[in-house]
Amino acid sequence: MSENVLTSTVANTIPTPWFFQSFLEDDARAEQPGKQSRYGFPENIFTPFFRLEESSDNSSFDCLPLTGFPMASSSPRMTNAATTMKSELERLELAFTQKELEKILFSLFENEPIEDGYSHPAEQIVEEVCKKYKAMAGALLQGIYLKNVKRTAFIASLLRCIGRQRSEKVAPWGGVMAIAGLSHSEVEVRDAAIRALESWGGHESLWVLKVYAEIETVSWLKEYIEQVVRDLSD
Amino acid sequence: MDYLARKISRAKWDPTLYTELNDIRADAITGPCLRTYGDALSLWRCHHDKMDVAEVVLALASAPDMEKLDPIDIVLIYEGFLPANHLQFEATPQNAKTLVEDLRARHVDVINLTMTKIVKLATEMARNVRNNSTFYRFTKSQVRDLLLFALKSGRLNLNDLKEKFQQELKSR
Repeated sequence: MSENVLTSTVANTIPTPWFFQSFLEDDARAEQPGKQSRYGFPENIFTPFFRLEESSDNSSFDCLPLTGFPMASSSPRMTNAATTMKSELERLELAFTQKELEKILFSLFENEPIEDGYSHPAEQIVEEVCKKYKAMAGALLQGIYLKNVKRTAFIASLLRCIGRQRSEKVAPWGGVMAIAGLSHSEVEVRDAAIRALESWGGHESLWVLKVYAEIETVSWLKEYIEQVVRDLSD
Repeated sequence: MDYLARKISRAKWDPTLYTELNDIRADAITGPCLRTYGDALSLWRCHHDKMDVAEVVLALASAPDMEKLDPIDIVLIYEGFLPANHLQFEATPQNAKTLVEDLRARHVDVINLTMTKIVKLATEMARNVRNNSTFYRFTKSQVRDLLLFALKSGRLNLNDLKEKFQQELKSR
């Protein structure tokens, strides 16, 4: 396909989404772009991966690997079409990142289960997601959680990694995920949710656990909740 | 001291939708709960008494490589179960991963383990865990209190702990 007019027009018209902008700045600072992290994944996994190009029949857009995404500036003349393109770009970028993130997390949990008292490599990934995606991190991780709701060990591990983050970094979506975890049919997920609430503490966690203590039917888990309620009340 | 304590992840030992009665999830056996090294499994001697089990929790929580403050789950196995099932064990204070010196003597290794022997041990652990008779969970706050008390009484030196763990211990 020859040089596409739409691609260059859109790229120069649409303001770079705020989360793209921070990646581009990070990339510019990176001394060795693409170097492998100690877990074997590229360190810049959270940079945008693609650009949109109009397909040959002009009916849709192709998602192509990104090479040198141009830095765009905002324009008051942004058209409706461009606005649609922007939101489509954001939606696709998130969907793509979610898929990649899910693969990475699954691989890490499969290689090494979370052990009490010891850090897990997936915690760093979740921390990085929170840092880079800020408010969007919740949408990403909740999406992964929902998609894998039947994979008990996976979502329990994911909840435990989220529970190990500082409460302000995962608020408010972390709490919402923990509350969702409390209603899961498997004990392992409920346990991970309670651990997260215990770890974050605060009035909200205490209130949720007090209510939930009345509902839990597994005796050892109920005793655990009651003890956490006592601990958090002190 | 006629019991042996092992750190486990309690949730892995509960029956699930696909386990039959008295069945055990594979994750419970292949994960950290029964991870062996050199066909040996690390255990700690204690009494069947929460105060004494707390000493084992302190030993585990004060491992030199400890990084996170987490709840700790402990299951006890009656010591007599091991010889009755041809499971050998020996005192190995030199293998004790703890910074509390006076707890090292409690450490034992179940040795020469095979798959058949691990399954015997796992079956006994599952039985004890599920009837709640010899299972204990110490919450994060309780583990923190045990460590702080050990620091206060001079059994543990703060500087010997990993820096990250020290910070977590200080934050409340």
